Amino acid sequence: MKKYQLNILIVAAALLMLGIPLWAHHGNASYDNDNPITIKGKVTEFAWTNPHVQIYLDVKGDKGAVVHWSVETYSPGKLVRAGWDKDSVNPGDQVSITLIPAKSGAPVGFLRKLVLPSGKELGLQELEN
Amino acid sequence: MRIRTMTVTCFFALAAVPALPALTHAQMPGQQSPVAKTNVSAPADPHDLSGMWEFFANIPGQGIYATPSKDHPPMTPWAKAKYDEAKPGYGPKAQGGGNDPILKCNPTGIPRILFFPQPLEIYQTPERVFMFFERDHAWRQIWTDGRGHPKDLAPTWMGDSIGKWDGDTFVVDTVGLNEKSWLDFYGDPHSDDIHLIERYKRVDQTTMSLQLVVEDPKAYTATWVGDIKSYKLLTGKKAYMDELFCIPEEEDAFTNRIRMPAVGQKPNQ
Repeated sequence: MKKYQLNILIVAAALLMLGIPLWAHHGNASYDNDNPITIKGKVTEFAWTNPHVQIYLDVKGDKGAVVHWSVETYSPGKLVRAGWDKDSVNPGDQVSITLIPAKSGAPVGFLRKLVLPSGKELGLQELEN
Repeated sequence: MRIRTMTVTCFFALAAVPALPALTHAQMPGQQSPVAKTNVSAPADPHDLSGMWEFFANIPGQGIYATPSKDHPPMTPWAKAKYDEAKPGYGPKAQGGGNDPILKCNPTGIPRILFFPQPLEIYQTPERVFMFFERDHAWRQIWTDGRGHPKDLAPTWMGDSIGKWDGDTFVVDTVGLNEKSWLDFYGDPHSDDIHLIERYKRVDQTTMSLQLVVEDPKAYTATWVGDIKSYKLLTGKKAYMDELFCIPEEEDAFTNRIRMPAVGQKPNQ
């Protein structure tokens, strides 16, 4: 019985942790970890650089106004291990990005998942499941 | 022997990671060639830590991320003053922005670089164990030829390390660390009197564990015994390390474009 309860605890802990944006090595206190949102827009820049790769895009709001979003990801090395490369995203691409937004309300976020025009998904998972 | 040692040192300094598989002559008996040929289904040799390992925060049973264990021991007034000055991005004092020394491209240093969420590659020779880190493109050497620490060490970012096997545990003893680096992501300090013990174990073919033990009476009034950190072996295409130097202009650009806007501040000019 005790072992069973322990297993449940371990599984519960693992599930909880899956929802956590694992690390933004310089600190992720700026972002609202608990409330991810999804934005869709046109990429203006894909900055494949240290310390963290960045994606910039224009997102049309409900009333037609365009908001310029800045999206942080991980370092190029971590993204390579998660299946990205320097040409994964290009200016002009219409993409969908799920991110955790800045607590400040600024149009800045930390990426969790990107969907390319082809439907291909890119995430942050380095280890195979 | 001395010439060979120097040659190997120079070679490592110049050629670094991609050339490692060519150095098979320096391997210990029974040791696999690193990374590419790793057979993950074969039983692991407990005395072989070679390979590319990465700390992942989201694997079951993982120790806490970013610090040796959940709570640090009581601090001395000296350490408390340093801790009060720290504005970290993680832990109880987490905040956006901050004054983490790595934001200015100070080396991450030992022990913090050990639990960075980026790979480290271990390479064993008869005399030394090498660790190559993606973070900072840094490396360290751990002498295993029975020598002790030099006397009157000038403190450095990586310190002076000696190691030996205690059963199936590889025990690394490090002194000579400067006090410029934070001990962890939480802004916990250490002094240059720190005596660090690292206990590595090859748990199975794809898992290595590490427990840190920090003795630093100038900073903490008790020994800090860390929890168990787990590392997974990177194989195939995943066994890749990028060139992750910290470049001041890249850090500044990132700060201006992401970090400051994220916390609602205007970029620096």
